[in-house]
Amino acid sequence: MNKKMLIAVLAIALLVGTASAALLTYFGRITATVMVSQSVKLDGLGYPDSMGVLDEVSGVAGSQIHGDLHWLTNANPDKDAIVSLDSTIISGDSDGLTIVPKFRLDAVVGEDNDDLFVIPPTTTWGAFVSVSFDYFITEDSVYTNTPHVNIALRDPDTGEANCLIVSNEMPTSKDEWLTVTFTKEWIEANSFLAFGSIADTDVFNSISIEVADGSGVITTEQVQTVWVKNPTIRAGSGPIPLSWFRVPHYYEGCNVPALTVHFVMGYDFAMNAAAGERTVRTEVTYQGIYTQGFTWTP
Amino acid sequence: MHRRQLFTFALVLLLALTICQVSAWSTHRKPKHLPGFHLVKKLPKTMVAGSTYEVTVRFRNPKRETFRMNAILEVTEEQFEMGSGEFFVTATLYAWETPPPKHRHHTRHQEYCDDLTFEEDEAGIFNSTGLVRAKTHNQLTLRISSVPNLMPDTYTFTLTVTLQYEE
Repeated sequence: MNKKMLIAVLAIALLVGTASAALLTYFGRITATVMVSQSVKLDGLGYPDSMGVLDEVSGVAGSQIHGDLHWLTNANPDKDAIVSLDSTIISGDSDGLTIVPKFRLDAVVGEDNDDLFVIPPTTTWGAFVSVSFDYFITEDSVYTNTPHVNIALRDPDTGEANCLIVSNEMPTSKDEWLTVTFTKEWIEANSFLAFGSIADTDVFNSISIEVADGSGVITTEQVQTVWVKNPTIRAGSGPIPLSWFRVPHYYEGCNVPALTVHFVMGYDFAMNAAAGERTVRTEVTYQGIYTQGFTWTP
Repeated sequence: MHRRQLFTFALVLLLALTICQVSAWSTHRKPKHLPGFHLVKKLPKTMVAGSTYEVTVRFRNPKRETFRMNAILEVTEEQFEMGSGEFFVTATLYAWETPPPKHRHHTRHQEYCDDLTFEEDEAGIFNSTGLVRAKTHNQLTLRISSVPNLMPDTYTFTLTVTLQYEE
């Protein structure tokens, strides 16, 4: 019995040795060290140095005040970025204070890829309340043309604009603010032209807001200064605490560089807002890469 | 011959054979440098988070046989600990029987082309294993993507390519 076992062990050892002997290995190795930088920066600074805005605001009840001008840049060479803003009142009374980020629309003029605000795919049309913007017709702009703003809701499946609404407000002087507010009943507004139908679908994944003069944008001088308040989403309808928007990458075919997005934080004090200073911290978070059809990568 | 003597003789013979095989195994197991292994396209010195960058290496198949290739890309971070899912790696293997054009990472006219899948076995360690047809000249191009919110830092990428032949 012992002899048989011994022979068996030897035979296995022989087989193992034979099998192992069959492996012949070659290898090569390279090493590279790379500095990785952030693709989106706030005022030129990335995390952890800064990706936030700290404002100390003290306003009169019934007024709106603005924080300093900030800008976001996207260093990514070929992809647009989605950025979210989340504000927290870290000191002072939160009652009667509404925080409204406003974006200057000088980054996406005249381009097809002009989806500035991005909405998660689960958001339904019924969750929308309003979107509004202010024109400021500056002296060097071509104010004699009719400025207009196109607003389109995009179908998440096809990426096609489902509804296009065009404002056609005419300025009456060189320096004038025009405030335009679209509500859920946009299509019924008499002062705007509307194409398409919002009844075809109730789910959208982005709003594109495009500003141009009446004859098409050719140079930066023809761009009207438009500040857009973020689309208001009914609370609980989607994961948008304040605003998600897009920071486009530079597109060579565009006459207007699309690299920088300017924004200010707006603070609306209600008529019954309590007196006193508030300190508000707004976190700017890079959420991901934007692609048409809202396909996240990864 | 006595049965015991016969058994002892057989035992000695088996032991000798085993020792010879193990000796040969030890000699062959020692990895050899992959012939012609060199960098054709290197990573840039700086990368932007969220973008995709390519690195390309070439090597020669030292034997005119099918081989098993194992490619491992290890990413390490200088200041922080690597997390899973921060990078994504895909690759393509191009092969030629005759020397490929000398243009940098030229991939036209390849005689063989195969997309490789890299799995992240551990945080920052990507592995791809598969059998490769017997072509003399091979080019491996890796596309390395990162998540957009990757922590700014200095990252080290180490690519190890191992070829194994069954004799």
